[in-house]
Amino acid sequence: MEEEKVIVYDPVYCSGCMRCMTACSTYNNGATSLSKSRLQIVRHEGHAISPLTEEDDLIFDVLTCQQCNQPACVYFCPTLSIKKNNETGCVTINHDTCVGCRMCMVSCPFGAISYDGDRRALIKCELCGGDPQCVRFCPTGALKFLPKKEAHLPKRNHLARNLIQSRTRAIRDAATREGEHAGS
Amino acid sequence: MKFVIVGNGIAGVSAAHAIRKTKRDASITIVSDEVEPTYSACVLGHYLGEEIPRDRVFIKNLSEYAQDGIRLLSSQKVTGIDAEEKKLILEKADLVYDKLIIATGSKPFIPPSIQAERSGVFTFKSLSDTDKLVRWKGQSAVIVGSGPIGLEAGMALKRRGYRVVVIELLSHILPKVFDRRPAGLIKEILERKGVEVLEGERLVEIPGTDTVTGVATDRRTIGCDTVILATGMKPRGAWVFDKIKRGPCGGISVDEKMQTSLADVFACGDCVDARDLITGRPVSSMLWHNARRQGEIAGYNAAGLSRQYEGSLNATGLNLFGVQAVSIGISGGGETDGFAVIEREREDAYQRVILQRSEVVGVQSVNWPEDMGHLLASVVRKEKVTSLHDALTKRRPPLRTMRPFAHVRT
Repeated sequence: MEEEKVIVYDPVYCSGCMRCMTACSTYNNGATSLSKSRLQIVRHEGHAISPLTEEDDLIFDVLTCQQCNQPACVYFCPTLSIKKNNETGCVTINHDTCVGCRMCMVSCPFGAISYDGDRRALIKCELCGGDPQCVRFCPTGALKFLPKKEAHLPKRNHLARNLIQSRTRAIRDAATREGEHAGS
Repeated sequence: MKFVIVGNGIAGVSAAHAIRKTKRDASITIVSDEVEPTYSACVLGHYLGEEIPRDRVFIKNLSEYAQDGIRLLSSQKVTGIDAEEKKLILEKADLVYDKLIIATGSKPFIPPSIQAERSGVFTFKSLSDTDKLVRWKGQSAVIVGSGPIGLEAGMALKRRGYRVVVIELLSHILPKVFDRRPAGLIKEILERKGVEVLEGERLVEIPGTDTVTGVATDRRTIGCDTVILATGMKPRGAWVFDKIKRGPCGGISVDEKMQTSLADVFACGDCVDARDLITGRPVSSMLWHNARRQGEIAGYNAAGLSRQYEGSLNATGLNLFGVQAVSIGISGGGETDGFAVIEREREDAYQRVILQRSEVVGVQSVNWPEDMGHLLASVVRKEKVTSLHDALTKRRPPLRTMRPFAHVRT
């Protein structure tokens, strides 16, 4: 049985180059069109003109299919065209039975399903059949394709690093204070 | 265990699948008065409008019933029930059951004052209705009633080259689904595409003896060769209605396990009055996704697995010649007391959030489908908000699952 893997996005590493989007639309549409990418890197509004602070480092975020366990798109589909694969966890649209009513697009809380007007079809991330091109072409490693049980590790690593940093800082500060104390 | 399901719509079929998932060796029989296998009633408009071929409306073919071990008795009318003996009375034979699931659906409601038995007068509910309309060679149609079914039929006939007039009795179209403001925008879109819309007009009679020559309203007479009566639906299943407890909307009364007042009898789909997710009151929903979910719940409970129905939620999407109009949850905001409305507009697009005691209870949009999923989650969770910005940006608990939207496998 294939292990269920998910795309994990790590905002700390994202530079916003949008290479993932180009790769996605090129691979899945045969033509580069950012609007037809199934994964959208969005820049939080209001930061472009204001000076960046430390908190503002994480100004990019990603919107793509979360391959939900209980997907709203599946719930509302009137032709039962969307299915969740039990093994890979991937939620896919069957275009032979889909009539294009867009209830999935309407109900998705992540905006992860869009309508391709040229092909008259609804499109969503289907993990490129198990080898996501966005992950393959991400130059900074902000996107990772990890087994589900390891998906939390990047976040945990960051937290651990922050914790260690603040702890060393506290120790250093204490040491400096002590030194100042001894000097006076 | 013998499971008998009356009705081969999505509710009945979902129930059958839920039973099969729970009990591998159960005997499952579906009794249907239609000939065809299960089809999606939501896409009949697409078929009528020649967007998809006829075979695309089916969601299950006959061989798949055999694969799943489901016996399908088609073209069989149920005439009665003997609840004490646990017997279903068919026209030809009786059928003994251990658990019965009633999923008889709904049928068109035609105002009793209207004489409708003549050629050229149609309803638009089933596949056979649609087949008749596809074969019919008409040129101008009057659609009576402007609910989603009426408008879908109207738009499909427009695509077929008909001249189309829609009549609505109330003061704005889609009265049950949209509020006045968005309904007005939808009307504009329809009129731009050549569908004539007449609001506040009452159908008086359909003159003519054998064939339709026109429609008489309280204001004018409209000449036409096709009339579609889309004046609403009512629960179906007269054979059981006098033996079973019924709800305020006329459907079969069920509890949260889809159990009826009769022992070992469950009901699901258009024929029931089930709990509304928002108000908590029994409501006749008659929407695809609710019927499907109710079927699953009825199936699981009939098979002995305890599951509760979360409640019916209105979620209607209309594709108006490419423009998406969506209504989720309760409508009627701003026009009755106790509601507050937040509106947002941009060029050619409109969005409204309906609040009751500062909880999100409804969302409507025209040509603005992007935020709808987000707001749908707000409706389901009855989030308290004070502004639209709040509703769109509020930090939420994990969004990974869309409870109560449990998912289906068929």
